Amino acid sequence: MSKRKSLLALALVLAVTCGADQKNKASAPEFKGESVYNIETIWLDPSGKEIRLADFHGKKILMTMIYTHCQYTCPLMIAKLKEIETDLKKKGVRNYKIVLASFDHERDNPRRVAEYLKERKINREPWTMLSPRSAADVRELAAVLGITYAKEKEGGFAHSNRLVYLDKEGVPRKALDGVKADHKDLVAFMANDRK
Amino acid sequence: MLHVLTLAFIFFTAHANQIKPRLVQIPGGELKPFWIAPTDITGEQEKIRIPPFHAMNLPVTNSEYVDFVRANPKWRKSKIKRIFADPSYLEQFASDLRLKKEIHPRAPVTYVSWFAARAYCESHGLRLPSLAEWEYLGAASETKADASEDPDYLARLIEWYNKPPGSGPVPPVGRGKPNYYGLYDLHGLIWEWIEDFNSSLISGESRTNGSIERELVCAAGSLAGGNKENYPAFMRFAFRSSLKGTSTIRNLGFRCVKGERNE
Repeated sequence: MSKRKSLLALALVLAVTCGADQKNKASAPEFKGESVYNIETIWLDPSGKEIRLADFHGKKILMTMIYTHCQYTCPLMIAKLKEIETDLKKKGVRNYKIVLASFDHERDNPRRVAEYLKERKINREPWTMLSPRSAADVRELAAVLGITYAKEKEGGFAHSNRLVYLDKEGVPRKALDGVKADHKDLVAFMANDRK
Repeated sequence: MLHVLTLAFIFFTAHANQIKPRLVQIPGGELKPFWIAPTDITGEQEKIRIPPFHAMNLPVTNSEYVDFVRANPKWRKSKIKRIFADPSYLEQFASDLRLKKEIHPRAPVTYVSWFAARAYCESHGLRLPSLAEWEYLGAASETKADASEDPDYLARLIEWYNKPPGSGPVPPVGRGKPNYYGLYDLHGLIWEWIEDFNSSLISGESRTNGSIERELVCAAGSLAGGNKENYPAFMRFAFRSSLKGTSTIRNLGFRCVKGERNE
């Protein structure tokens, strides 16, 4: 009988602690397992504000990686994104961001990036560009987005040109590879995606 | 009583044969890479300077990894976020903190993603080796720091690479001979993660990219200047460029290094 009592007591303790556990969970934001919001690294926006990817929660995101000293494909990537922007507008897609993340933690910083956005006439919504705080953070983001890159001797980067669409929960849903790829499907997908 | 003694004896001898994990000091030097930076069009064989660093003498083992997930619940089998690892993550674990019966605690931990391997090293104040660092370590035979042009050594590597991976459990670490630096199991047991595994532009994704293709042609053209005999290194490259950060594979583990980041 006493054994049963102690079991009961144990069950009670477990029930209480489990309950407490669930409460804790509810207070901390819990993202989908596939969401890039699970990355906790901090980047800097053009105003110098600290940004976590989770800060974009609730917005659709078009994300790619470039760097401001890039001479070759990055301007083409931006031209591509401007075309996509126009087509998304036609489809009535509004609540989204175009997020450029830099490969170059040594030369890119908020001030440099802000100038770059101005030069390219994209220092406006829905555009933003993030500066990395370390080479390790760049490697991590590239791995998550499926982007490959290598630093070159002259300080530049050889990199793949991949554009990734993340839904409102931060889950990568579609990618466009190459600066000349047809973006019609991507735009249609974004327009129809309710997530 | 006799049983206890026998057990104690077995335990003692087993331990006496075990190589203790430690960080080994690796002198700096030069690496002759058979791959060349994609923009280098001179066709000349360049050299990469490797500053001194420290490397684990053994790959990280299952039991060491159990300690890691005990202290870091986020990386447990049941807690891992899908963005950080494939569903086969820690396939050799029966539960969050227990290995399956047939798995050796001193076998290298495998079925770990790049994100997980990285988090492990970071939790010890270490990091994954860079591509150049790993190739520098991997170029050493038992007797030479650089055996990357030694035909016998390369032939032995090819023999291992050509062996189909067994289906049984992975054997324990530290059973073979140490290499020139005193490191075990760089070849012959498992493959190992590197920090910049996603630095190869020769991947399925980049093929559709016109401008990268141009770069690829340059790279391919200058490859002729490299060491064509080092076929095993080409195989490692092919293997790495097939990986994603979330990949978890039966014979892919890792070791950590210490020193300033070098990519």
